[in-house]
Amino acid sequence: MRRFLKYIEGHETTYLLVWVALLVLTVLTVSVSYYNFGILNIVVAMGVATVKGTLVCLYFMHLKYDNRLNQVVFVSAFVFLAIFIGLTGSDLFLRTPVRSSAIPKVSSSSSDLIGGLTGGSHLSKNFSHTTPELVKRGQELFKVHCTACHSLGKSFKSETSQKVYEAIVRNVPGGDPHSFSDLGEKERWALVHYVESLK
Amino acid sequence: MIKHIVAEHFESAEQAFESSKLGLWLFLVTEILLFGGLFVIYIMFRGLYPEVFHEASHHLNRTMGALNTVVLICSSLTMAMAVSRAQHNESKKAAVLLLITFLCGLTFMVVKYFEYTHKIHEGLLPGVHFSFAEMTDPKAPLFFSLYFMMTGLHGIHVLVGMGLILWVLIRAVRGEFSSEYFTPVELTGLYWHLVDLIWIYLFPLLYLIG
Repeated sequence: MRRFLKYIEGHETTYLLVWVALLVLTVLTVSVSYYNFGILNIVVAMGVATVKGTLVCLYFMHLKYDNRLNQVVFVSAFVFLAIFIGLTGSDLFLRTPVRSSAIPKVSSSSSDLIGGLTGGSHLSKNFSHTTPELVKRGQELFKVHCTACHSLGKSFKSETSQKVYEAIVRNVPGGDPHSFSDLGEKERWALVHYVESLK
Repeated sequence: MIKHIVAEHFESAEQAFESSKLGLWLFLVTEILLFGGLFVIYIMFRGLYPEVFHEASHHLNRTMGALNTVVLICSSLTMAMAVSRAQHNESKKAAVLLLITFLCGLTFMVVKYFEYTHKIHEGLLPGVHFSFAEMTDPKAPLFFSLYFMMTGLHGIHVLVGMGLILWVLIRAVRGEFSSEYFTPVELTGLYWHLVDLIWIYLFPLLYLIG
């Protein structure tokens, strides 16, 4: 029973000090946010939040006085969260688009989409002509891959055929920020034909 | 005072207490991973569209966000105090502190109600419901989808926490807690502190960008 009672003795002064510290840190994080330190803003904001969170865990939640098993269990949540963030982030931000070099560049002088795109390409000739089937497939793909962001924006409709092709089929850097590298050749062409059919 | 009887399958009151507490810590791990999914979505989209998040964040009310942060921090203090009082056989004092904690939760929800009403009125809404004319970027609704999902899920947790506090408050008034048995107060406290912990991260991420 002694261990049971160990952490309940005389912590109310500590609680008050922690409370004051949390309020001071809140004032700090709000006032710092009015200044622009560039990338440092997010570092400072997350740093302050982490200090506050640690105080809450250690003292209000008595994790400092709790047994080792509970400490390990709780900290493991953050280990798994770090893995979750780390792997998702590395996939999203570090993946290089594949196959873009294997797909031919568009002749910039071409005004005709189909004529310009098929020149000398054995890869794309099967899909470069629009068919009702491809447009239908494109519509389905558009729903899955594009509507989250493009539901309102009509911006892509005003893009030239060449830009649409370059963004989707060739996945040119600096174009659409989405990676289309997980879509096959046919799927990309289907998207192009669908977007073109909207014009 | 009502004497608490330790269930048969436990060796002692301490073992019963520690088992319950381990169970709650495990539950809190799943809670962190539940919110973790939303945090991951937030981080990825903010990484992709930093300017949009920056601009959209200016349409949240910082004062109300800061006020709610202070309210939750105060409620965490009174909750911790309430656990301590219950452990010291002072059920009445614990009940008063629990009542203050409950009222803090209520204040939080009222402030949140005013914030939500304002957002709905302005058309700062998720996805296709977005109709705020000043922001034309097609990615702008993304920020508000995340804002409503994250604060909404957190708000549900606050409501659940308030319900639990009310339950232990009634039991404290009945004098059911003592240094021998205070498990429900302790566990409700842990849950409430987690709700505070999540808000500590939500506040700077949503309200204080740039």
